[in-house]
Amino acid sequence: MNFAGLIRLFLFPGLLFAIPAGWFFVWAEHKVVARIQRRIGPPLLQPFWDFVKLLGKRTPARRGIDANLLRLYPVLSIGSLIAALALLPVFPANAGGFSGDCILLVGLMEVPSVCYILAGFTSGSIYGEIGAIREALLSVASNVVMLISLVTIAVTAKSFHLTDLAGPSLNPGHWVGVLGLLLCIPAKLRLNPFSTAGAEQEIYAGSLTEYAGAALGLWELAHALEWLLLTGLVATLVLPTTLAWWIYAPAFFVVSFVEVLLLSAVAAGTARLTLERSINFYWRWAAVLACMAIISSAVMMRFHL
Amino acid sequence: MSLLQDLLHKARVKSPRIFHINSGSCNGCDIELITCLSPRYDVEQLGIHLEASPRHADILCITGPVTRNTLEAVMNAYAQVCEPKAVVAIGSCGATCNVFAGSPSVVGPLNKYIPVDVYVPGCPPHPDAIIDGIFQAAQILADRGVREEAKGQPQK
Amino acid sequence: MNILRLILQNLRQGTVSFRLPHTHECTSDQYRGLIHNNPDGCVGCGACAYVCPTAAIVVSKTPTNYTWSYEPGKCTFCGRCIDRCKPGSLSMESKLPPLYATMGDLDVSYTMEKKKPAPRPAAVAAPAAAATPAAEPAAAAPAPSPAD
Repeated sequence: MNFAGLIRLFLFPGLLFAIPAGWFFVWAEHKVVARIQRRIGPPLLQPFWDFVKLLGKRTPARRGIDANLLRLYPVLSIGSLIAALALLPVFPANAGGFSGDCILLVGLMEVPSVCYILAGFTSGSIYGEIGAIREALLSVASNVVMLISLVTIAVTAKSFHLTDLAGPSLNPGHWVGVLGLLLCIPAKLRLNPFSTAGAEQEIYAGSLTEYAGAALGLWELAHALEWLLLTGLVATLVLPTTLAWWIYAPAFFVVSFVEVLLLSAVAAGTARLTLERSINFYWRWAAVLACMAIISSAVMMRFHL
Repeated sequence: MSLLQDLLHKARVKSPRIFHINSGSCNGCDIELITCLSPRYDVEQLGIHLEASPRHADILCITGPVTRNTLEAVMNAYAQVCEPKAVVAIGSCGATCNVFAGSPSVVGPLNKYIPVDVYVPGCPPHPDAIIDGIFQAAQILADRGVREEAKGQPQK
Repeated sequence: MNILRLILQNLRQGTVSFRLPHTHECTSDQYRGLIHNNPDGCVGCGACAYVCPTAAIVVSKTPTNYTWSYEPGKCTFCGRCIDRCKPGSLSMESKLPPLYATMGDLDVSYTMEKKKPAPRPAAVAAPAAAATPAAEPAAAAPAPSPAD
């Protein structure tokens, strides 16, 4: 791997930037929800303290559960999320990436969701299984919209190279695609209108009911990275690519942060939908919107509009 | 105390996650515990978070005298909380069974079965007293964690 | 879109939370906290133990002295004992009862000699009320029975 690739993986937007930024986003989410409920909310370093505390818990081995397998899932999620973050076309002027990396990104983005489902089934808990089934159904529903949205953006840019996709475009198909992605983020992050998979207190803690200690801490870290990846992907699609790097990097962070505020406000202002209604929302409304966008984009591409 | 232990101690004080069990309480203490999570007494500012699974929690908040039906659930949940852990008995019932003492279906008090670290007196206790109790339990838990690690890992 | 209006209103009005760990006064002066007995005023009648629903207050007597003991762990803080205390030696704190780590930390017990002059104020009032001779044994007699 070349030098720029290593920087992307380990510095920006990879490990060194991603972990503190992810924790900051998780904190921001809690803070916004607290503010909307007229509470004060957690202190700034709360996700960090939670993580350190969970690393210090002693988890006894349990019969009937493959502990190594359970530990593998969050590690796999974090690995794929970091790799996906490294693929993000930040600094597109430096022309990183390769043709078709958009498809790889989609694949890597799915890994945490698949791990979450597997974790639920591996844990052998009935609540874990319910959580896993819900997550599976919900990810099938939201992925349709997300894939169509990404393909719409790719069609308007006539490329599957993320660097070509980055940046705002005059083509309305690009913006409809971005809207479609934004609609999918709450389901991917298990945020409130579509939080049936996590369903705190309803099915205990869903897939993660049997998790404890360090493995749970890693899952929380993976969730923080998911926040950064999904908001960051949208940020790269709307930020102009011609900016100098020292403007681009803070702008990337600010745009992601604004998305976090928006999503948290939506989460605080809505109640949990049932699984049926969530799927209905994605397949009946969002998917129709996305299909119309892709068809119109394809037509526009055909006639070189 | 090494730097790492110092950090761990601070993290344990700053991030107490609680799990709530009703062991046959009259619901008075439960309502007061939920009040602590409400906007008025927002315990999230101390990092206290109500967990859905006992395996995610550090502090067990038990309300009520222990009835025969709930004893198994209480013991089960206590076993699921990972070390280091602490137990807070909320209300007079956890300490002495209070008005339920002598009932044939009550097998309490709680300290016959599991070690209790903090008793919060009151019937029901004031939310401030509950918050103080959880906060004190977090400190007990952090100190215990440091002690146990200094001794070496206890065999479980 | 009522929820939007609600969100904006909540954001504008700011938080209603107390800052923790608290700096505010937790309780009003009407709050029912721990019970205190003033041994000088107590006559050992046992009325408090008789009305106590949880036997948190126990009065036990021997021929020469009596013991007033109070176990806050059992107390429901209902205040019935205060209402029944004729000599007015019982009082209630208006602050939160303190946390404790081991059972029995807050228990209080006084052993006092039986006060001979205790019935005397009643005897002074005797010419006015014919009921006092009846009330005096009533205060002394039923008290030992709830104590055991």
